[in-house]
Amino acid sequence: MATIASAQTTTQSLGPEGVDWERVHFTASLAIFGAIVGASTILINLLSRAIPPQVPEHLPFSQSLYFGGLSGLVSVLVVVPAAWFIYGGRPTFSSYRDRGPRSLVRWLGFGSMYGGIHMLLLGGLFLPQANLWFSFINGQVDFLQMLYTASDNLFTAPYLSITVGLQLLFTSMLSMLVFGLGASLIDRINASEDPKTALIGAWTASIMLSIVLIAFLMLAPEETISSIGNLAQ
Amino acid sequence: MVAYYQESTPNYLRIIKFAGLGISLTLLTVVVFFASTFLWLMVSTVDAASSADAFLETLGGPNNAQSYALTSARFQEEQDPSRFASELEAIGSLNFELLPVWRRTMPNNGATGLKGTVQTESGTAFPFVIEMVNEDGWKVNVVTNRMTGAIGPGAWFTGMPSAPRVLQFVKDTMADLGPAIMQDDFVAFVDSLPDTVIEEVASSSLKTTFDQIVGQIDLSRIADVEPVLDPPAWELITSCGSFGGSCSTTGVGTRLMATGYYSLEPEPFHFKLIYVYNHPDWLIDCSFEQNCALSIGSGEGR
Repeated sequence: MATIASAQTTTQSLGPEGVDWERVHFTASLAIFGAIVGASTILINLLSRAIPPQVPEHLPFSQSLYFGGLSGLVSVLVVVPAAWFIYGGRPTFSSYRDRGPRSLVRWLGFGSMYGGIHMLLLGGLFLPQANLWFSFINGQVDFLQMLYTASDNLFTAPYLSITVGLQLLFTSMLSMLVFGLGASLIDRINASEDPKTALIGAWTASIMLSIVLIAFLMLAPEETISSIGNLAQ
Repeated sequence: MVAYYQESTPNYLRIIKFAGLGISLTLLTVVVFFASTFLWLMVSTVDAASSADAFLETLGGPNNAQSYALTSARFQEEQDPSRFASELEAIGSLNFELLPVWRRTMPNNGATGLKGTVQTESGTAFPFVIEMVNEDGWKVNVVTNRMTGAIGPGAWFTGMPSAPRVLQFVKDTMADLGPAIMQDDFVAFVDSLPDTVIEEVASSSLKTTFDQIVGQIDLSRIADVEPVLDPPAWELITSCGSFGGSCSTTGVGTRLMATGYYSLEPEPFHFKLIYVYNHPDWLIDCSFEQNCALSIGSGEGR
């Protein structure tokens, strides 16, 4: 007599599982580049604030590190989720690779969004709080004043994002362009058919572009950087 | 067999979980950050605060030298023990108290500013600051309740200068003003003043009254005569904002009025002089609303 065997359910993978390293590589490469673009944005902006007869001068190293690091951090906060989302999840039922590269125009669009959000976040929240912290550690405000002002800054962030953020407008416009172009290049290399290039190419491109930006900031004459920041001359 | 191609769909529950975790972590970071900062501040300022407390406790005591010994080298350069004693004498018996830790600032370049309140015998409380510097232990560099203007090292308070000191201000002024009146030379008097007040005094109300008494009195012996001084008082000026704005009165601790007379023959010589605090000195200033006056005679309408 025939019996119906009890069916055993098994879970079978429909595609690659585990950490999506491709996505991680892409996101991390863009985050590194974005952080350096963000750091450069604030440093160029601070240089471009010198009004003649003031001569533009680099900040002391510790302050450059402080403000550059802050702006870089804001960039990372913007770039990481965006890059993760843009790259997209792993397709299931298919091993077909449909994850880029995206067109230059799309990257310029993403660059604009990056620059705009970075400008508003930095100007509205992070820069006022960083200035406050700077005043505190330099003994200019007491702890209670710092708390009050920090909460005040938090609630006035929408207003500050316009008033302070607009001071970063020109340099942010530059960062939109630089980030868009750089990210497009990283994306193209990352989407290479050659597995080796795809694996380390994006990292290499990101680090190389970052080094070029840092070298430019350190070596270019301050007047030149300042005029670039003003979109003048 | 049909193969379906499907992109991964967003897992909203997972997104919400991550967002919640992110917000919780952010809040936790903020709390930890402020708690650590507070601890850092407390540890950084504890020695300075205890040294400041030790200094403030000695201030009301009978031995000024004990307090003076707790001050910094720059303090002692700028203010000698006698001026220190006169500043303390001017404020009288007061009760100093430092504000809690959360009103402290971080030390910067080996110095830290602490705030406090000082209570007078009448119960009035006003703020003061004490700056401590680290030179082989924390020493007092500045202690003052003068909250405006640049105040250097030393103990500087808004107390009324003692009567003998005010008398000396008047005698110093008259030593130059008397001969100038005799010679009808206001410029000679103005030239004797510090540069910072020359312009104010040259175009002041003092010039008007100066002109009125020239030639009417003999002041040749003024340096030998002791003036009779009314109790010194503050010259108070009340100013109100336009369109019903609130009013404020200024002058306590900054504008000193010295009135009195010289008992001369045939008629006494009266004066009303105003001195403005210009750190660390009191300088004559008769400009704008500060009306100085000189007159001769007795009774009404002099």
